Amino acid sequence: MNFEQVIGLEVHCELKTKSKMFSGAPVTFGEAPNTMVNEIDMGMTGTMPALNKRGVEYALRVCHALHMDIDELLCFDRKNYYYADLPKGFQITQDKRPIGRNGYLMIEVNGKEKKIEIERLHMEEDTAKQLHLSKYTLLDYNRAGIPLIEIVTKPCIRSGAEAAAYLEALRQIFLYTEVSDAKLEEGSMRCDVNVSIRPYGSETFGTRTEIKNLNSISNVQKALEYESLRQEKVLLSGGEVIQQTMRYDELNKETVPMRSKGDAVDYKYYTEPNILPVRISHEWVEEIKANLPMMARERVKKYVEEYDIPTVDAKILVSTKTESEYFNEVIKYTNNYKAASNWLIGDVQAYLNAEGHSYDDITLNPEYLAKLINFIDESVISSKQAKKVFEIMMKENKDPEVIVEEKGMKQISDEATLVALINEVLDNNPKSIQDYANGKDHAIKYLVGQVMKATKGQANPRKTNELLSSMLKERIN
Amino acid sequence: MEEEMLKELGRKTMFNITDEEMPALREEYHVFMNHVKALDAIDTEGVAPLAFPYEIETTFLREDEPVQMISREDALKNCKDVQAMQIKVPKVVG
Amino acid sequence: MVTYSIEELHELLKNKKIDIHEYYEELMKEAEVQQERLNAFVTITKDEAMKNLDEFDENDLLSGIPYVLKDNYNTKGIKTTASSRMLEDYVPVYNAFAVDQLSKHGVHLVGKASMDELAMGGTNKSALTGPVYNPWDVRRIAGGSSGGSAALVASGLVPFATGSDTGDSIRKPAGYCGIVGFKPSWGRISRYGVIPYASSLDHMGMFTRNVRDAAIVLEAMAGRDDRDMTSSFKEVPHYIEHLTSDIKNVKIGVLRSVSDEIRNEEIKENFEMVVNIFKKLGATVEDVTMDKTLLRTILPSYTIIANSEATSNHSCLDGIRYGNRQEGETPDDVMINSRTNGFGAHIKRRFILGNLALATENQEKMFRKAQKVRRIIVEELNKIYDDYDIILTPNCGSVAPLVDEANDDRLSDEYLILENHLALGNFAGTPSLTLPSGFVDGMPIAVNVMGRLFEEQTVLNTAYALEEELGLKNQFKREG
Repeated sequence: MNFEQVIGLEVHCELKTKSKMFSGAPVTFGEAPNTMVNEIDMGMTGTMPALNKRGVEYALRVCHALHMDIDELLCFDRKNYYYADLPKGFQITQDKRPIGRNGYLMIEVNGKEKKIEIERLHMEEDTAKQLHLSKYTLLDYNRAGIPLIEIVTKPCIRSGAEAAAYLEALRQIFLYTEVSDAKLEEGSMRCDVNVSIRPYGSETFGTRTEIKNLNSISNVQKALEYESLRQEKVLLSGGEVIQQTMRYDELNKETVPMRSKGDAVDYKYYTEPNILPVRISHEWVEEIKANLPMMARERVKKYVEEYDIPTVDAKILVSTKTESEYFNEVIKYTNNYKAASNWLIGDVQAYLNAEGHSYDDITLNPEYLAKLINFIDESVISSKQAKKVFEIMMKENKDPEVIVEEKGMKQISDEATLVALINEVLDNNPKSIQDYANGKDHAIKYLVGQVMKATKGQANPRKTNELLSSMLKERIN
Repeated sequence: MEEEMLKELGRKTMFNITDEEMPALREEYHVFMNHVKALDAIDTEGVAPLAFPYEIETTFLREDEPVQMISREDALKNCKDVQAMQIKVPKVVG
Repeated sequence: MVTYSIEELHELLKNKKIDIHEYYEELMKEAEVQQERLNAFVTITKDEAMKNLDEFDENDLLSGIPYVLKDNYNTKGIKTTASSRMLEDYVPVYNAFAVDQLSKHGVHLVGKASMDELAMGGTNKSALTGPVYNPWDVRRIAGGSSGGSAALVASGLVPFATGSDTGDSIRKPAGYCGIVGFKPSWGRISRYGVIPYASSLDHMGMFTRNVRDAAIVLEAMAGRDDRDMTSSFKEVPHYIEHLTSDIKNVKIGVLRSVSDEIRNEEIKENFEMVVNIFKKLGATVEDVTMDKTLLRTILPSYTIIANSEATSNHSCLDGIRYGNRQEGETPDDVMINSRTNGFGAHIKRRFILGNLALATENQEKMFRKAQKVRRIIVEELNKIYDDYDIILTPNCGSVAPLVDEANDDRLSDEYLILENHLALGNFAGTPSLTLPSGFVDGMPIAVNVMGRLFEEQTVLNTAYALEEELGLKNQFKREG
């Protein structure tokens, strides 16, 4: 029997606001434990929540980027449960009325496009961070109360590869909307997956398992591939899939059930009585939409269609927003889009890599790179010279015009000057003319060399070649 | 049955209920269930729950400024078990 | 003798008729004496009271005035227990908004007052420190949950004290103790920093010995607080300046469905006397009713909503970060042991039943059903407000019960309606003030006036007019 996978993803993303979702304590990372807190984050009795405007704004940015319907009345609920890392004994979240509904994200797997439908996006708050040591656990509340958004897909994902592509695309959305650094490895982006399998053509869902705490996109894919194969084996051997929560054991590359306390927890959701429904203005919602930058996918389309850049290259250019923005700046000063793309993907990236940098910390004025490209196109300098200019330009953020001037690199491309020079060389090398007339082609190379020697390499080689061959022909005739 | 149910409910509310406490709990449970039953007298068909004393919306959102902080000393002051400036609990498993 | 009202004491301090240092020395000695008799304090804060005595500001009515906070108002650096073993040694690191508001005026904190554990009760018998006794007769309760605050004001020790009111926790004890108890509209005074009971029903308020003082204290405590999203942006009126006993334009509805349930003849008579006074004062006074079937569901729906919200609100009390931690093998065991040890038996029962009503499988027929009934009750109440500014009721049907006889759970109509109707003000969030109206067997009795949302001024004026007429102001009972 052939099975298809039915996968749904729940992604949590920490928002990089200045203060927490419901308290005025700072949001910072890597600070000493329990220094970035106040009485609200510590769950001290008597405290009350006050909703962070920027937290809402960031949630709205992502909602828009995912083409969602917005609920302009913000309503919050309590999710009640007891856990060591949960300061208040409940988490404030949006259960009944998420801020965003019915969105989608386009992904591409093996050259095929697919629309991933998104059910909901809601706002909530993070818990304290646990440090598990051999005999006890330590709690740091700096993370408690940091804004989170949770994005839940419909069960429309059909493979680990699709899940990975979705996560990559979603991560790009977080980065492009600048709401988070979205690092799975560091926990600022987290993914739980639900997976079940069913025979192809079946409309009903099989029993699903949940895999929690996946800390990289590749692990999501691996875990899903392993888990669906495991379920398939269970079903084929006449067994039943048990609904349970699992984790992915990276070392043994397998999914293993997590220890459970028996009953599923009942979260007893009910309206948060300390937050009145908040009416946000339609104008504000629209303003946030209008100010949204173009997303990666649209940029690729634009680069390919308008700038004639190969799709593969366009995708590399948009891999980070800063690189894409840099590219956009460069092409304000040159029309050679292709060259700009090549430089950014090639030499600039290589230079940054070598320095341990990225486009986030590039210092080079984009106009300089455009100038360099134009110099080559106008034969002001040779490609070979350009490499030298580039090295200096990158290191010192120096105008290539100045570099070319200082190093005396300017090519001689002026026809009259070159003709005079070539005539002089021809006059001094009658033997070579003779050789050329006798069909010895290497003579032309020698003559070009002589021109170069006379100009200390500054003669435009292409032009020199052209002029020389035509002038030789003239003399022979 | 009822005792088991109430004991379990106690557990879910993070309490151990002793045998001595059980009769009073059962009694109050019955009073409570009578209260629940008493509400049947009111037809609430089509009525929405009222979660606040009056229907009201706000437009207020707090500006995103990190202005409300307490010192670490204060944060940990009332905790009975602190280690390395963190709150210590037995090892969390599962 | 230290028995002055806010305005009297202000005048005396301003005209230097009394020395503030001597006054506070005497006051603190008297506090010890009254504590012996009433058991109303959890903590006496002498150092706090004696601080900055020389900073008297003659332009502020509250400057130099001694007061008491119910022990669920968080006070930075001062133990705040909510009369629970769970918080027996808890020293908050922040102040409640209302505490800061009052401090701005230079009031002096004399102590933290006893209350029912976590404010969940109506007798004050569940306090960790034991029952609070009624100054008028120490065999009787002061009432609850704000029993300590009521007793201390009624003893004449301090001119005002704060309270909190989820069902009637300010107004019941105020009536039992013969003083003024006022809970303004939900949203008028920020709840930030007050240990909650049930957030959608919780109100902050005050005890005073006359209506003018209530106006002064309300004005100081009220106001917008950005940390409480439910607190109102409405401007705080200058209540004392606008206070008038002219109530000719006030329309009063006498809620007969409640007053009909009075069984005690003297209380009945007293209530009719009050009705007639209002008529005499020129107010429009008419009888109004509410469906009794509906009124009988006040207590059931209240019990379900209050316990449900309470169990969630107090989930933070797990012994992990603060409070009474008891060790255990796992974090769950720590929480279970801490909570089992930290809460009184009745609190545990109520949390468990609240949890039952919130459980997903029960929520629709229990918690949400109660919330729906609440809506119907509030809508019916608001229909009366379409035509009347004030709803007048007796405060309750008896004088303060004897300590041994007081309990919370009875299901007769007299009990269901008459003893629980004050929760209407919590259901609808409307301002509600109780003031003394006479005596039965030497014990004070009272009536309640309840106004429209945010119309505190009308409530104060109506009460003020009655107080002027009855002359029952600045009552206190001091012995020992």
